[in-house]
Amino acid sequence: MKIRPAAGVNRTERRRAEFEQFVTDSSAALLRTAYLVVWDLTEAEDLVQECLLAVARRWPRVRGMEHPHAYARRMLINLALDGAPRRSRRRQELDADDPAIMAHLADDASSRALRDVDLRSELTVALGRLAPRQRAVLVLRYFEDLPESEVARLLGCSVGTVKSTASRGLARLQAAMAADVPLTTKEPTR
Amino acid sequence: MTQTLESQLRDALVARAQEIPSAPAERLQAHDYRPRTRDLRPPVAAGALLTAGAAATAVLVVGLGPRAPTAFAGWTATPKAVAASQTDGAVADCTQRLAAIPTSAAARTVAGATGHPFSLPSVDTLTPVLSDVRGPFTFIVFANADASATASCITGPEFTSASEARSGGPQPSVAANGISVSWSAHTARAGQAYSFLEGRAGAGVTAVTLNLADGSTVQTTTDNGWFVAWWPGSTNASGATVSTAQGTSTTPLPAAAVPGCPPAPGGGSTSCAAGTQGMSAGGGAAAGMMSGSSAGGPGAAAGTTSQSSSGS
Repeated sequence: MKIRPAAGVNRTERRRAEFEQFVTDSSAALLRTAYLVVWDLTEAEDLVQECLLAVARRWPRVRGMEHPHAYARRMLINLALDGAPRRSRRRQELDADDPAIMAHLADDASSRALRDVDLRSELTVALGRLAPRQRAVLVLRYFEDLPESEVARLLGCSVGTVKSTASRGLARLQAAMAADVPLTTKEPTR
Repeated sequence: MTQTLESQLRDALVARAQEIPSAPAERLQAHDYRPRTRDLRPPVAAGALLTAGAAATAVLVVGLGPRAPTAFAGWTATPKAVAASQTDGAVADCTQRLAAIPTSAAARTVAGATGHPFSLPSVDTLTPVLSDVRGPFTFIVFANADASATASCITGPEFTSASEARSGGPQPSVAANGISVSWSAHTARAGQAYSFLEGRAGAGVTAVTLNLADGSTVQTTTDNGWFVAWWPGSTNASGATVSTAQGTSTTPLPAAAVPGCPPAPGGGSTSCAAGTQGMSAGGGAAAGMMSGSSAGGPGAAAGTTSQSSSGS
């Protein structure tokens, strides 16, 4: 959806308003996608924040796109996948006077509770143990419902790679569901 | 069978997504993501170094906007020289904050792209290596012996942060007259954007000044083999002027190559600039995520720092 300018305000204010509307409209969806790809809420929030900072910097150009959200999602996925191999980082900002920290701690408690729930779901556990790129393909295909061609474009790979990655991911999930043993990643034995 | 699994997978993903609390999305919407822009920045003579006061004024006017005009009040583009003893309190405060970051064992574990989790550094393994003071704000950098793990805090009147990071392994040594960016990012606190860049400096480096993309400069604190600077707003540091006994030289920083960003709209060659990260191949900039590092600066192979957009 292309952002349409509002009338009656100057260009700078109009663009700011457009971007703020974009953030309002897109942040929750971007957070869901990030969370499902990186499987960690704090990391997902960081990623979306950085993604939106980047979009803000390019907003004069991004706003003219047909699908600004798709651009942001693509940026988000790439941030999630490109960044993780070299360095992962957990960031938490603390301010005793800031009520946000209480919300954050509440989130953490929620996350721990969610982990308990996850333990009851083999499929969810197996999803969490997939490699992020493999999980990203499954999220884009089965949560975002993107066609394989769009997933390929978004990830910068071929449709064949998307198919094979999804197939391997599904196979691993299938194996995990079938196995009556704890889900662990085992090193190959010789 | 596969169809059933696909259906179960959809349900599992939807259920997982629905479990996200509302607070993170609310925080994301409350942030002020606006970067400084040229059309709002007061005119500055080309090539002129901003004085500390002028820079602070510029940042406060253009970097924060009306929603948070005073959070970074007093910040200066030039750090203040202070004795180590004057930052003891900030170091102790930072240590406490860092120790408080992990609220559970699980929270200390981060899964990398390979899916293999690893632990964040314990503050016990880190030592303070640098203190950067700008007005009422003190930025403390901690690192371990091989620079593979760092942590930092910013402490100020209305603004604090604490963060930890770990790279994949020991970082390469830095050329005597070179620098190595180990961690740089744009982020935001309570809706106010700020950026920081930290790295290591060779033994011969006496000063490092960051050249921001909007033409302003920020002088780093350089000491003990490290340098660091932070500034309000989300303007990239596009280069660094490195001073040594032999003179000064400018090193480009990889602001135009952000591995997490798609190619520029319209097919341009530059990528988005969410942040500037490590300078090594495959590093680049993805704010707040990760970094590799490699030497830059005088005599260094600047080509290793330039990257093409890889986000497609």
